[in-house]
Amino acid sequence: MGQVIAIVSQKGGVGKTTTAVNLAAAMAAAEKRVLLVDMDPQGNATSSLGINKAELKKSVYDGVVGGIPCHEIVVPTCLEFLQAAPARTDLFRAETELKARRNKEKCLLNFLYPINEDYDYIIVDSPPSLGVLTFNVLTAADSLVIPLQGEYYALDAVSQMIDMVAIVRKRLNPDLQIAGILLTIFDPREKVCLRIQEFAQEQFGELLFETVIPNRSEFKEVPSKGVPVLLQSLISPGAVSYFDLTKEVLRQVSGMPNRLSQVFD
Amino acid sequence: MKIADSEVIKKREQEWFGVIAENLNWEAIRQVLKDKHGLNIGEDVTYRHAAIEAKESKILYSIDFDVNITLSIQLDRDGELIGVKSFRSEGLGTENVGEEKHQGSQSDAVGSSDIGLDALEKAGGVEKELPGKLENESAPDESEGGYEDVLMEFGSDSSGKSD
Repeated sequence: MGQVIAIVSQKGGVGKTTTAVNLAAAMAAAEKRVLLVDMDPQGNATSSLGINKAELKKSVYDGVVGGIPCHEIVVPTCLEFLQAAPARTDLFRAETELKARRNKEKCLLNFLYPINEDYDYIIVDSPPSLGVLTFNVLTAADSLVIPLQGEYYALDAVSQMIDMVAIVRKRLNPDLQIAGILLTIFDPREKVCLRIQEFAQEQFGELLFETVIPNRSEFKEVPSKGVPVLLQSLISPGAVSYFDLTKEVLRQVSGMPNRLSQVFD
Repeated sequence: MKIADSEVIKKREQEWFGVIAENLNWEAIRQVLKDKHGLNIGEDVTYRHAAIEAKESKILYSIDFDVNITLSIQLDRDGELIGVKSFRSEGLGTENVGEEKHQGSQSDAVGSSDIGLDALEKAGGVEKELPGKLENESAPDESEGGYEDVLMEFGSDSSGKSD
């Protein structure tokens, strides 16, 4: 059964897409069957995997909004065990088009259910907002990875997301778990980063992943090459950090209830 | 040529709908749903929307409500509908709405009726096309409100907190 792990934050620029792509790639490198679902209309996760959006016949919009089966949407990637449900800008329309629907928060859940058995993990990149697309992600997810960039506003964003999760549990997805909070774009030379880390350790305790994603230029460079960072260099600090994160995430989510199987069994 | 204030008309219409809604005989409605469809609706009934419609030269009031109902939907691995059961409101036992392997829409599964499935659907009780295709309708309705409600609660919860 595919565990759905979503990378969420309503704040932009905190490393959601980088985390989604590289977490998915690291899992696939460990020969887990992984689907990366790009729920951000900007489609950066799609581009990061070298998928040419202009050549796509269908996108995640057609699946989530149009009801096209997931297996008609997914495309292969540069990694054998990693497939992607790509996004294009048409997904922007979903925010408007889904609003009038009943069960509008469950469109992603329904999209993913039929292919649940085909993957070990389904990693979802989410948009930097709290719109209907993000709530689809929160409704379909088993667990969340919440990136925390080393700046104070990001700390607020994480606290808000934790509050939001409590309400989502009550109203939309009772079993939603937080797999962990991930320090990203971390530069130990910056005092503010160290303060944020210290504060996060006090505030979030065990929810904070031990792994810290360093602020490395490689994360800025590889998207243009259309490959995850670990395909660029297996031993670069960036790649190593995502391998470490993957181990932690797998440990965290093992044994967690599976939303897709629970909902429909 | 505008001869009346449309806002006044709309406001008075809504007030009128409210009066009608408040005076509906819910015992009778519950009985119809139970007798015709084997559905028991919960106590929590919320007015959603109303409109005036014309049908066969008659004026109709169409009043939408949100009601709680617990349905158990069974489908096989091919996605075909096997049956629909409605739980009694006190949570004991079930009542079958349709239990044969079924390839059609749920409207067939629950049978035809005087009030029609459209009315039921509007009442928030059931969805018209069921799980075969695993459309939105297949997701269980365990949620308490949509994402707008989540945002409203989030907004009100955090209103007292300093940013």
